[in-house]
Amino acid sequence: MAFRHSPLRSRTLEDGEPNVTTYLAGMDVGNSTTEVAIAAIDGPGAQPRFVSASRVPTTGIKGTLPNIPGMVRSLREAAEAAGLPINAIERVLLNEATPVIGDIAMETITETIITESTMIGHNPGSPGGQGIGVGQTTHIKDLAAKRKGDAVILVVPRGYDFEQTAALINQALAAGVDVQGGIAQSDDGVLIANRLSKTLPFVDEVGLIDQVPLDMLAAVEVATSGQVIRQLSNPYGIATVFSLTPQETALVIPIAKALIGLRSAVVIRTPAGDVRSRRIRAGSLRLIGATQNAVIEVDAGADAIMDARVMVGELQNVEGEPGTNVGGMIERVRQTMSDVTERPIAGIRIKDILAVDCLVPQRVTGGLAKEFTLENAVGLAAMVNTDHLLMERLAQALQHEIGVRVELGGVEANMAILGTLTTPGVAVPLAVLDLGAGSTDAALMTSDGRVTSVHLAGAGNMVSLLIQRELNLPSDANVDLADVIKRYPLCKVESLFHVRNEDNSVAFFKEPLDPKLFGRVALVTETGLTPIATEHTLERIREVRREAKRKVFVRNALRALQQVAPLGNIRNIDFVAIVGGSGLDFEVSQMLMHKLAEYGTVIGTANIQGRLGPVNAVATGLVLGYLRRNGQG
Amino acid sequence: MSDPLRERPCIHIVLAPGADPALARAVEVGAEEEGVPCRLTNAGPGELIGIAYEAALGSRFGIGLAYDGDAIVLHEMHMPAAQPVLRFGFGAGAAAACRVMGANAARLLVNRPLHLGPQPEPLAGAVAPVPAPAPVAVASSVPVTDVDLDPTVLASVVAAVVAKLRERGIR
Repeated sequence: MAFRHSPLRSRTLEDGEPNVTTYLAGMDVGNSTTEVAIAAIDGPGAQPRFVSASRVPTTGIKGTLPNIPGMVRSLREAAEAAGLPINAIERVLLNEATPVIGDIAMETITETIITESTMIGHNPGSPGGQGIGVGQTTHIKDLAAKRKGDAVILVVPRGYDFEQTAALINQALAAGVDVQGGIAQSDDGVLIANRLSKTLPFVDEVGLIDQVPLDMLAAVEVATSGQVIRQLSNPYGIATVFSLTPQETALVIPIAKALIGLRSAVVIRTPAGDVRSRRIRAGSLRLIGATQNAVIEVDAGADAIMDARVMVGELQNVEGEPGTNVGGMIERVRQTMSDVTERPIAGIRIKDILAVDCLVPQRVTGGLAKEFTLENAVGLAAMVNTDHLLMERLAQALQHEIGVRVELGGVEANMAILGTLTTPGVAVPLAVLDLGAGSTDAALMTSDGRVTSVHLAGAGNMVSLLIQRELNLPSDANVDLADVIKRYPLCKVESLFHVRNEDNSVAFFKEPLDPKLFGRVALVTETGLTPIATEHTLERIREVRREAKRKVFVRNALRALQQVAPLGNIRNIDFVAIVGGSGLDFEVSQMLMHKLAEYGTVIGTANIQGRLGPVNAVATGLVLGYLRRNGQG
Repeated sequence: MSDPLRERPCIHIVLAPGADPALARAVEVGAEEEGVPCRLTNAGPGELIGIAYEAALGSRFGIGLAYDGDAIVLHEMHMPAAQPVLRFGFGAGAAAACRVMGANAARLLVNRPLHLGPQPEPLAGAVAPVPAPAPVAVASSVPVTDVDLDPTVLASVVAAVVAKLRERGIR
């Protein structure tokens, strides 16, 4: 190992006074958390005793001066836990040259636009009646003017009482008007349908009912309970209802697609109606390698992009096609990186990318009841290398702030391995998989002490982004909902006294649960149950959560291990230890274990210092690395 | 209510002293919209929560409602007698509170999330719309300040921005 700092020895260590305890602190500033480990050294040559550790959120973006408050807080918390004043610490060792910062972005590549609103598809809690009806849209006040035999779809704005509405419809039916179904603004569908002399479909809770065009041919479909609509979610079904030509049928595909899986829907044919699925040009990515380049269309999907990424080998830079979505996306990543590192944008080189396919719900432009349709999207995580100057500047600023000597203590990957070796039952040769928030890192230490390491784009933050976008969670909430969903298992509150966990086991409670929780999907956290304010089913949330982890962590773990493995073959690695904040995850390590069993590799979560679990590896390693350099380790 | 209904499991509604009999209709409508039958039963003496608890004990579903002149209470047979599931005051309109509470009684049976206030929430519609991703925000990270800018400085800034935009293929 090469060290850029002369190993200055501390006063007490040099003097060799017996029985004088000195304290060293290792500090690791990560993308998401800042961790500190404090060790006591009872005289020269003594083994370090780790007396305390802390973990606080990183303030600001890793490697920038706004990190200082978080660093100070982390140090103070660890010092307090050890019962020390900060100035009793001999020196603080900072992780050297934060090698990478990552950024993530996501862009949809398809979009559905409806001009001249022609469809209402939604899932009100309780639509009325069942079946399909086709007729002219007619305001309820005009019903009396309809003649015998006219096929009618009624439009009922709020303000018409359900009993009054039902009476008018029964009257019209008796007079021979062919009422086929209806659209109501208030939550009255069931109440109206229950009072009619024949079973008719009624869609309710249509907010923008004023915008429903009148005297147009429309179809209303309500499925029986427990079923989904069949006719209007089928392009040929719509064609049958409206006698469409093959050309026109091609145009209704986006409508049919948006109505799949709903319990009720309305489709209205307007003369100028036009729905199209606009394919936004996603553009192409240019991967520039050391020896060869690859140009790959983003539409080709994540797998094709990742295949190209493997083919190119060591990546020098990535460019997006100017004027396209991916061009904007890559530029944004570089702009953020340029702002953070205070380097010109031209000097920002992307060293790795991870592409992930996903389906994100998007508002249908022009829909009448907040319709959503699933659109294809691609998420990209990118990573750039930063230089040593950033962390050096940080070390100086921290020294100035706390009045304790601060120095850079060693390369992150090497320090992570040293820290991980404090796990009981672990020995070299060993691979360490560091699942952080911003990047997935792997390092391999062979029995002769040589370390190879690799840093890849995409980790915990990418998983949160995927969950947020695929479940369409509010992004501006105080608590990052996606982040919490990522961390905790789910349950469904089935009664006031019991919940069903996601593994189908049931938990009973002595005290009645809060009515707020009733009927909801909730997170099982340390502090109790937290309801999730969405209508997604437990199964859907679980699926999205696990799929996101698989797409990011499992894929990246394999990529990373492949790159550090002898001869590029994961089978040549015997032991892998998981460290990093995402190693705390309740299911990722099991998923990885499952996957790596195929390669005959043992993988487990590290237990730093035999008690801290997978966190604090780098901070602990920094202290050990310092002592080792000074002949004490 | 007709005799056959007496055999069916129902949510029980009790009118406590001081209740307006017309409001029972609103309660029934709320339950009907969720597809659950309910019927009126007779009140014993006592205060509102106790009456609601009695109604719940009498119901085959174990769910009871009671209201008087001021509030409506939803109770469930497994709850502690003194702790109703929900209570809505009539401050914001008695009919609305009754209809929503009727719906809540039904939801307690069919296992759907409850309305937590006397006004129905704006459609349980789930997923709040997420604002569309902003187009490539070029200048968003530059704080706008109220400083007087030298026109030449300004011109050079504009030129730099235009150059940047061109470089990225945005015009």
